[in-house]
Amino acid sequence: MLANNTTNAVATMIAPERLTWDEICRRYPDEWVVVAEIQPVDETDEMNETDEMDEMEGVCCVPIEDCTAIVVAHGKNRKNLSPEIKALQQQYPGLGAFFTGRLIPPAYELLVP
Amino acid sequence: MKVTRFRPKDDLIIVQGTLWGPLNTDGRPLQLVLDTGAAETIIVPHVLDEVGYSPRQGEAISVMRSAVGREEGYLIRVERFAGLRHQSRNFRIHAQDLPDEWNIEGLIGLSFLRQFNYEVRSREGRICVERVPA
Repeated sequence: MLANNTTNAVATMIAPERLTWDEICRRYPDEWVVVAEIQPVDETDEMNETDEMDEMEGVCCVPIEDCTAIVVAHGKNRKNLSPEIKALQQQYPGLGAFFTGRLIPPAYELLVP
Repeated sequence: MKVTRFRPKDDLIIVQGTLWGPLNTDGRPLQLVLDTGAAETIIVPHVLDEVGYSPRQGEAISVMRSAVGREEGYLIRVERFAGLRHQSRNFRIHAQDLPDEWNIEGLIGLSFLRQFNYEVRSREGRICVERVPA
């Protein structure tokens, strides 16, 4: 399946390419992307705002917007990606799924009719 | 004191969390919404399934009444959950579907937050979190 297919089907990437979050959003607008090898753009930024022993050793705490990552699958529907994620997480530890479009606030419709 | 950053111009306070499970011992990153109006910490069931948890391991069937209606789910203890640069082991999660159009995998609610003192600095896009001894 082509990498830029934007139907409801799940697309798995063939050639991995490291991208910034902005590049990912431009390439896969309003889609769920499954990303691997998430790394902060500025590695030194991750731990410099703490003054106590960090409980999160080995875990990336930096927002995805400030990271680069490799897109390994993408699709319009989150649930359709689940089987793909289960298979891919054997290959890529630290896999995450993120939406590239706008997130809707809970109960938004009730607050703003 | 630990500081978590978020984008102040976003509609929601979006933070990164991590979930560990039998099928993902390295930790699965999650994009979560900080919701001080939610009693429970919620993760959608298919994400729990991906990391190796099953409804059969659930402690109880639950019903959550929210601003948008009534949702059935289940309560489950996960081996390890982290958010806001802090982690909890043997932590109880509410597995519940959220509307697809919200495009989120879960919420950090008071069940996690009440372990801490915290300060949300909305203009600065910073959440300052301090663990409080039980």
